[in-house]
Amino acid sequence: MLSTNKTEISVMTDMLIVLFVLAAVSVYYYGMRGAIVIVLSVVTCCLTDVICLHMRTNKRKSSEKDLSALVTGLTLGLMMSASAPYFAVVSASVFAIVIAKHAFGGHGCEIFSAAAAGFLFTALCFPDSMLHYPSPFSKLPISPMVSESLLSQSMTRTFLLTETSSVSVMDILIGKFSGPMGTGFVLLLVVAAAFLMLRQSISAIAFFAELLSAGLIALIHYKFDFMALLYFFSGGMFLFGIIFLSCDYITMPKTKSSRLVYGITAGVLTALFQFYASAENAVVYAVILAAPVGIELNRRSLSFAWMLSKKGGIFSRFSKPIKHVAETIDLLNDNNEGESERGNEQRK
Amino acid sequence: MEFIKNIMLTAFTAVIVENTVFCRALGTSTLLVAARKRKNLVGFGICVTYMTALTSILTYLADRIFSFSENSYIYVPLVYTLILGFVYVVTLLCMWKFAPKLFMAMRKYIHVSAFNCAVLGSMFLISKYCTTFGDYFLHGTGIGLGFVLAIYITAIIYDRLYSEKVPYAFRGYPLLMIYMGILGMAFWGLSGHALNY
Amino acid sequence: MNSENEITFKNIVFNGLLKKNPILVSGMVIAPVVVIGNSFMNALALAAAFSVITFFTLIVSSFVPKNIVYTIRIIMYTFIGSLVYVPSAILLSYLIPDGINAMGIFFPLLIANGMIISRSETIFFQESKGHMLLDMIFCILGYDAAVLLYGLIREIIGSGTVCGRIIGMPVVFSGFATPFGGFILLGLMAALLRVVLLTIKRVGKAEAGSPRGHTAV
Repeated sequence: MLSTNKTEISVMTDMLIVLFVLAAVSVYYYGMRGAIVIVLSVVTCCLTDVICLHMRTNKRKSSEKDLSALVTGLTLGLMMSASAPYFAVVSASVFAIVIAKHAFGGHGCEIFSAAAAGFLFTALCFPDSMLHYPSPFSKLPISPMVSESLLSQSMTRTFLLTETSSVSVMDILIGKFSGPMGTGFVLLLVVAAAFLMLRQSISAIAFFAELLSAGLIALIHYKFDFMALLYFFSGGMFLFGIIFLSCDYITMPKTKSSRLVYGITAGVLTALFQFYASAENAVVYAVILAAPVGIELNRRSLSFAWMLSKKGGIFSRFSKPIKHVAETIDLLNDNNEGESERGNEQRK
Repeated sequence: MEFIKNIMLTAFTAVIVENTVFCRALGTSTLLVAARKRKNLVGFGICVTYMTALTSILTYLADRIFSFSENSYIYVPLVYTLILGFVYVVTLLCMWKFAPKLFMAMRKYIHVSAFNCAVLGSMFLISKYCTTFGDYFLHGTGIGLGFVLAIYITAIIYDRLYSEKVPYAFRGYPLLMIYMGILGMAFWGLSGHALNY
Repeated sequence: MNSENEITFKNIVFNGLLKKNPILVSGMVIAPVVVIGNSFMNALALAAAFSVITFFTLIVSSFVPKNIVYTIRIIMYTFIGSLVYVPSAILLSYLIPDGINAMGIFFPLLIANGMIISRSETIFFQESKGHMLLDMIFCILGYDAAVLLYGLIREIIGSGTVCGRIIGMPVVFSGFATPFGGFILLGLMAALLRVVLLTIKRVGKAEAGSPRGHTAV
């Protein structure tokens, strides 16, 4: 509860700080090839965003401070394999910005997380090159395509197939296993989640609801094998996906109880994709499928706590719309700055 | 226990994994009409599920009677249309006779919900891929429920598709297609391969 | 506005092919398009099957008396469709056996397509038959043209081939050959048609009106 008046810009800045740290570590792990992938993703996203905004200038001024394309680009870049072909990176970024973001009305109106949609599209189009990863600290050529001999399937895939993994706990914690570039650093991601939650940049309720519900199902599935649980949490960009894809304020419902339900839904869906469909990167699919649920939960009549609060019960305190970020973003969307200022004054 | 588990798994497959709309695009045209009004959703859902469940039983019988020869594909649609028409008319008559109020309330959308591509398609699908009576019935009902689920998912964002913020080129129908495509990616991940049709 | 709604040959052609294109604007009969229209040959088979079944069903349906209850009428349309289906199935499976095979259950499903129901309801009961025949033909042609174009584009970007022959595409997005890619491509093409129509309108009129408030579907 450090600050009560968080604006969207400050949320984005917090996200960017964390993403930059992750990107730096990724570059350290994967060298030049990794850096090129990330930079390419960011540049394509920003460029496409500017072009799209320019084409729609009659609707919106491009002078609006908007870092979301940068965040999307960085997130997308970190979700890629360090050996991802360059055209795949570019097409993922273009898909994310043009189709998942601007077709739905641009920043603030997205239904799906843009990065998730972009990643999923390329992962389904080029499964061979997108879902095979080099091992960390291996020398990668800078050429657009990396030869198959340097690549192997990810730790998650091996774990899904055999339910065991040869990676040691220490390596898991520091992210030294083959997988998407920036999504394996478990310790770093835990710190990042704590930082973002303390700064109120992601919703703690949704985060823990998703983590615990998916974890519980995984624990039952693995018959209370805690090592397996650790592999489950660290692989398949699970933590990364929760933090940067599903706890996005834009696609998230506005009340606390709805966020709880949304988080649980996303967690259950993640477990479903992981254990029923054996899908790698289950959390990305879950985020896409949970998006309509999140929108539906915004309807007040569906909010469970709201129904109870009508009688003035103890649940009434959960049903109040969360102030600060959500509201600010909402008001920004309506291009209604006067309202926003008035809201801030009232809160003071 | 095993029996219940099997039933659950079959129903889950029919409703979600092999969702009629997102995986096979059956009845998309009907969905465009049905998703417009949320108010009618419950009645619509009951109606569709009722129709698919009932026709699946009759389809099973018909498939047994017209033991399928090589050329059966020529006259099968005729038989199925008659079955569907029969169930439809009998239902309407029963409703009109015994529950006139309900009939009047559902009058506006009962045609769309009872007599459409999705219901007819479900008959073709189950006759192609099911063998036992239980399969027929479960899949028939499941397809109906899956269709309703798809309509519900679409109805959720229907207002947003027409919002002022959406660029004019995408407003409405084009955006709905993209929305269904992106959701289709997630459903694709669930089944993991191309479904037969 | 009056000149746009006037029944002239030019307007009928324009409406059928572009402005009220059954696939790209109204969203009629898109299920087979999305699922099986992933190559030019499949699209050709679909267009042929659709045209034959819809055309003859609509012709016969126009003789269905007006005073029958709606419920019975719509069953009759489908019934006529399934009667028309018998000769067309024999004919088409003789002419294009592969295409019909590829269509699977979507071929018989064409008997209950939305165009038959909506066209026969709105058209034959309102206006003179000559005009409506023309309108119907161009509507079907619009459907065919859209399906063929869609199939061609989808085959090129989804499989990197044209009619089965490999052309040198640098990148092939295999996702577009699947149903979800079909949905996305359909949405993109529909959006493109909107832009084209808007441009035509702007060029046609001296002052470009604000396009707000329009709804398709």
